[in-house]
Amino acid sequence: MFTRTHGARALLAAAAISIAAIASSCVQKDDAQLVIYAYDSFASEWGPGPVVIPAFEKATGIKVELVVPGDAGQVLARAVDEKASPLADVIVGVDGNLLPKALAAGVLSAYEPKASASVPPELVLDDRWRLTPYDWSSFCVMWDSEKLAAPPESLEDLTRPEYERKLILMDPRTSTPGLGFVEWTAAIYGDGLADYWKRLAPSILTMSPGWDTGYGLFTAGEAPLVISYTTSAAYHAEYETAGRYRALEFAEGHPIQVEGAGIVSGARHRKAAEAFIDFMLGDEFQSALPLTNWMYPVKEGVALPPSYDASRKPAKTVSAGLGPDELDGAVRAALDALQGR
Amino acid sequence: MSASDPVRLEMVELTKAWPGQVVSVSMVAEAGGILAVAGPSGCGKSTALRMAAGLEPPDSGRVVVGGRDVSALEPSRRGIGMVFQDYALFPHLDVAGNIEYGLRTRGVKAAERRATVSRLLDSLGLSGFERRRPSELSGGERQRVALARTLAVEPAVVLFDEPLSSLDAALRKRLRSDIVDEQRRLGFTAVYVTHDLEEAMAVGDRLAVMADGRVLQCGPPDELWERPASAEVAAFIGSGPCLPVVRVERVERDDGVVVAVTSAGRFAAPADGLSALETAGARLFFDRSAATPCAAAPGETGVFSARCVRLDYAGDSLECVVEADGAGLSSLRLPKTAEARVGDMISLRVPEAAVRILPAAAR
Amino acid sequence: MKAVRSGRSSLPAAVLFPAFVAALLVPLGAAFMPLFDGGAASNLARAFADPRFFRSFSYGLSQAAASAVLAAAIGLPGAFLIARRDFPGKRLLSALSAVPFCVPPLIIAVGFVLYYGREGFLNRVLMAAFGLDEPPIGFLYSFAGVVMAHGFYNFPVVMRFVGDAWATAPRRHEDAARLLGASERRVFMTVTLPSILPSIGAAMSLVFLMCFYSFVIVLLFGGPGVGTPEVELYRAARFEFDRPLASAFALVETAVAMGALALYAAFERRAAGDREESERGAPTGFRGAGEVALAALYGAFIAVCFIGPLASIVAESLTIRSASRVGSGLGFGNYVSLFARRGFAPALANTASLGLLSAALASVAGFSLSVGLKRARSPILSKILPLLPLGVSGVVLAYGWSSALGRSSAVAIAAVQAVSAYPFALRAIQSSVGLSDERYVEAARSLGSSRLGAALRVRLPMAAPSIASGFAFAFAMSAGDANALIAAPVAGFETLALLLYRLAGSYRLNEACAAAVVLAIGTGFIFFVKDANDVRL
Repeated sequence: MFTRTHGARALLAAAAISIAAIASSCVQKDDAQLVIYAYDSFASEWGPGPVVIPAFEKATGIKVELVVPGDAGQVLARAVDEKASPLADVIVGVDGNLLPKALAAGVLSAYEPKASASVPPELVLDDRWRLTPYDWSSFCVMWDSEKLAAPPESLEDLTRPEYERKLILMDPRTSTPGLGFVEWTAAIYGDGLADYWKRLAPSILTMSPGWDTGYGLFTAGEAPLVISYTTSAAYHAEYETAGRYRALEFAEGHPIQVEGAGIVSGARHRKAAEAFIDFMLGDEFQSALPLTNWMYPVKEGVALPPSYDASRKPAKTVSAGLGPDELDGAVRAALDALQGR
Repeated sequence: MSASDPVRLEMVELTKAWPGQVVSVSMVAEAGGILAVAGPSGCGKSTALRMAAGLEPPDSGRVVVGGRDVSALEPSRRGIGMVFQDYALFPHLDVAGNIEYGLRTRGVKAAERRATVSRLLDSLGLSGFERRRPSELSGGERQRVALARTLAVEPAVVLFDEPLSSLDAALRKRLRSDIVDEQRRLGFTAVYVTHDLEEAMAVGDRLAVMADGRVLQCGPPDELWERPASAEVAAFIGSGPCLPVVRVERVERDDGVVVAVTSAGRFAAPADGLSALETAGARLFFDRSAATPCAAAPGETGVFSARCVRLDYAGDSLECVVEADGAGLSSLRLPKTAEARVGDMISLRVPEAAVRILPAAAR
Repeated sequence: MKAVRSGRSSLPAAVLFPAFVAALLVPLGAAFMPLFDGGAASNLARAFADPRFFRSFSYGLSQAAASAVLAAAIGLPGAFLIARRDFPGKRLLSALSAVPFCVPPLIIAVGFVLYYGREGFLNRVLMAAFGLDEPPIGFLYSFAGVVMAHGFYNFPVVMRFVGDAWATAPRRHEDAARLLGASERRVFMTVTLPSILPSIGAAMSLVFLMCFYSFVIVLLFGGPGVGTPEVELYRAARFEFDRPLASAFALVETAVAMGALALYAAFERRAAGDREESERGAPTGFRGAGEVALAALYGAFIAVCFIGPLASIVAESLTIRSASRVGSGLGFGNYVSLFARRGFAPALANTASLGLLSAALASVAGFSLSVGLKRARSPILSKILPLLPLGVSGVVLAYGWSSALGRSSAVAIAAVQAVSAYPFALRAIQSSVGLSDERYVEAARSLGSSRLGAALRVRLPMAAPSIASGFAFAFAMSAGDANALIAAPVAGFETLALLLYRLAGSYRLNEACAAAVVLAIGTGFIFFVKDANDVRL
C-alpha cells in the first residue's frame, strides 16, 4: 500500500526535483555577445530562427542569446520598458505599423547596412535606417476554390449579398493582418471607410483573435474567403497540392507589410549588432525566409523556391499613409461601424 | 386536534429487501399509546418507520391507520406525522413559517393559519416565538416547534425517529419526558424509535425490540424485561444472565416444571411446552435482581454459583459482575447487604418464578 | 499581517502569507502603476469617455451573465444526478468537472468549430441526412454562440459545486415537507432549492468571473467587432501603447471582478454554513422508468452537445489530411510527428517540472494558509483574500509580472500559476477533517506537542488525501495553462500547452489537437486515478 508517509515523501522529492530542474533551466547566461529580442514565430522550431541564428554564429563566431518576449508588439513593449538600461542589442519583427511607435519611444538607433542598396526603395521604411527591412508580403484575400465558385474581384465586391457570411477577418485590435485589412480599406476608401465597413458587415462571418485561428477556420471550411498574405498560396503549394486555396488579386491594389530589425539605442554589443544587421541582408539569411517565415525576402535577386510560383506579387501596391493616431482612429471607425453606431 | 379520537396504527408484514439485507416487520401501536421501537443501529427500525410514513416504498405489506388501509396513499394523506432526528426544522423559515408549512400546502387561508400557529405555540408554551429562527432556539424549544409543526396538520399518528439521538444525556432525559407529557395531554398515537433501550422503556407503553430487520419481541416493557422471548432479546435488554443449558431433566411434578442443568447450577423452570428434544442451544435466563446470596450448597436446585470478578457500588444496590463456567460474564444486582468480595466464589439463590428457559435462536 | 498571530507557532503561515500577498499584489500594482502617469483621474475620465468602455463592459457583463445562467441550467440536472442517483458512467460525468479548469479555451473553441461549425460534424451529418444545401446550425458566430460555448464549457463547474451541496442537502427536511403534504415540486422549491441556492450562487459567480475574463471564445464567436474589457485592455496595451488607458481598463475590470468575487465568497460561506449540520445520504438507483428516460435524455444531450466537440478534437488529431486537402484519412501520423519534434521531450519535461513546482507551491501555500487562516480574526481577510487570485485576469497578472520582474523566469511562471490554482487547492484542503476538527490538534497539544509540531504531525497526515487532491488539481491547471508563458515568455522554456498554441498558430491544427489529447490524457489521468469524488472543487 502506498502509505501517507510515502506519499508525502514522494511529493517532497518531486517538488525538490522540479525546483532543481527549473533552477538549472533558468541560470542566467551572461556570456552572450549579442542579445536579440524576436517574436515567437520567428524563434519557433519551424521559423527562421533555428536556421539563421546558428548560421550567423558560425559565420561570425558571435554567440547569440535569442529572447522571445512574445509577439511583435511585446518585443517592442519590452524594449520600451528597458529603455533606460537596455538588455537587448537587436529587436526583430518591427513592422510598418509598429515603427512610428518605436521611433516615438526612441528605442532604435540608426545603422545603414553595407548592402542597403540591394533593398528596393519602396521597402525602405525609414530613410535614416533606424529600421532595416528583411522581408515583406502583400495582404490579400485567400479564396477556397472548392467552396465558392465565383470569387470577388475587389474590396467592393466583398460587400455583395452573395458573399454573406463568407469572409473571415482578424480582429484589428489583436492581430497584424486584421490591422492590415483596416489599413487597406482606409487606403481605398479614405473618409468613406466607415460607410464601407457598414456595407461589409453582413459578409463577415467572424473576426478571429489572431491570424492562426482565422486561417484555421478558413481551412476547416467555415468560410471560403479569409484575409491573409499572398505568400500563403506558396505555403499551400509547398506542402499540399496547389490550386485549392488561391490568393486573389484585387484591381484596387494591395497594401504590403514590411518586417524589419533595428539596433537598440545604447546597445551593449553595438559591433555585433551591426554584424547581425549586415548578415540579415546576406543571401544565407534572405534565402531562408521564404520557406520559414513565408514572406518575400527584401533583397532583390534572391532566388525563390518553386512553390512561390503560386504566389504572384500583386501588380499594384497601395498605402493609406496613415500616422499611428490616424490608424487607431481608422480601427475605431471600422469597429464602430460594425457595432452599428 | 387529533386528541379527540385516537386511532390504532398497524404495520402488517412491511417488507423491503436490499442486497444483503431484508427488513420485514409487523407491529401495532395501540390507539392513544406510545409504541417504542428499540434496537441496535442498522437493525431496520428507521426503515420500518419510513415505510409506515410512506417515505420508503415497501416491497410488500400494509399500513393500516384506524382500520383504514393507507398503503396506497401518498405520505401526506395517511394521517401520519413525523418528528425527525435533530428535528429537521427548515433553517430558512422562522418558527411560524415552519409550523404553518403543512397548512400552506393544504391551501389554508392566512388568517386561519395564523390562528393555528398561535394556538399551538400557546399550548406548547412558546407564545411570541413566531418570528424566531430555528438557529435561535434552544434544544427544547426546537423540539416543541417540531412537534407543533407536525401537529398543525392534525395527524392521527405521530412517528418519532430518534429525535434525541444527538443531544446530551441530561437534555435527553428532560425532553423525552416532555414528549410523553405532550402525548398524554393531547392523546395522539405515537411510535417512538430509538437505539437507547432505557429511553425506549421509559417512553413506551409497549416496547418492540428489533434486530436484523425483524421484530424479536413486542410487549409491555416489564414483560420484555422479566420474560424475554429469546436469548437475543435478553442479551439486548441485559436484564439477566443467559446460561447455556446442558440438558433438561423432567421432574415428577404435574405443573409442567422441568429442571434445566447448566454448568453453574440446576434450576427448576416452567417447561412452557418445551420438549426435551429442543434443548440444544437453549438458554436459561433469570432476572438479574431476583438472585439473593446464600450459603454454598453445591448441586442444590435453584442455586447459582459463579466467581465475582467486579463489584460496583450502585447507590441502592451493588452491581456484581460474575463469571460462570461456560457462560462468560453476567451482571447481577445484589442487595447492599450482600457480603461478596472480588475473586470469591459466590452462591446465589434464584426463585423459581424468576427463571425461564429460552429456546435456541430461531435461525 | 496583523490578523495572523505572529510567533513560532504559525511560522509557515507568517512567512507564506505575506509571500503570497506579494505574489499577487506586486504584479497587480505593476499593472495599475501606469494609471498615475499623467493623473489617475484624467486617465479614468478618458477611459469613461471612450465609447468602447461602456460597449465592452456591457457586452462583457451581459455575455458573462447569460453564460452563467446557461451553465446553471445545464449543470443543475447533472448536479442532481451526481448527488442523488447511482448509475453507470457517473464517474465519467463527474470527471468532466476538470474540463473548464484544465482544457485551454483555444482547444474548446477549435472543438466547437469542428463540431458546430458550418462545415462541422453536426452540420455535415444533418445536411447529408436531410439533403440540405445550407448548414442548418448557424448559431456559432453570434452572441448565442459565445453563450453556448461558455455555457457548455463551464457547466461542469455548476454541476460539481451544486452536486456537492446537493449530496449533503438535508433529506430529513425534504421528508418532513413531504409528510406535511408538499408535492415533489413544492419540496424542491421550498426545501431543497433554498438549501442549495447558496452553492448555485457561488458556482454562478465563479462561472461569471471565468466568462468575464474569457478572450479567445468571445473574439472568435462573438461576431465582428465585439469586445470585452479584456480585449480592449489588450488592444490598448499592445497596439496603441496607451498604458494609462490599459491600466484604467484593468482597474475597472478588476473592480467588477471583485464584486463578483465578494458575491462568490458570501454564497460560499452560506453554503458551507448550511452544510455543517446536515447528513450525507447514499445516492440511490433511479426511481421509475420516467427518471431513467429523463436521465438518458440528459446524458444524450451532454454527449451530443458537450462531449461532441471534445471528441471532435480527438478525431481531428487522428485525421491525416491529404495533400489536396480534399480527402483525408485516419492514422497516428500527427502523434508520430508530434513525438518526433525536437521540442516535444523538453516540453514534456518542462510541463512536468513546472506543474510539480506550481502544484507544490499551491498546496504548501494552501495547507499553511488553511491552518493559518483558521485563526485569522478578520472575516474579510480570511474569506476574500484567499479567493483574490480568482478575480485577477491572467493577462493583467502575467503582464504585471513581466513588467515587475523585467525578465521573467520559470520560477515566476510557477508562482503565477500557483497563485491562480491555489484558491482551488485551498478549497480542497479546507474540506479535510484534520483541518475542520480542532479536537485532534488539541489532543496532540495536550500530549505535549508544539503548535507547529501538531500541525505537521497531526493536521498534515490527516489532510494528506485532500492535499493530494489539491496538488493534482493545481498540477492539471498548470499543465493546461499557456497564458502565463504567452504573456511573459521565458527564453528556451516551452511547455506542452505552449507547444500546442504554437502548433495551432503555425497552421498545424491536427498536430495541435494531438498535443491537446496528450495533455488531456495526462491531466485527465491524474483526475481519474485520484477518485474524482474527493476532489472538491
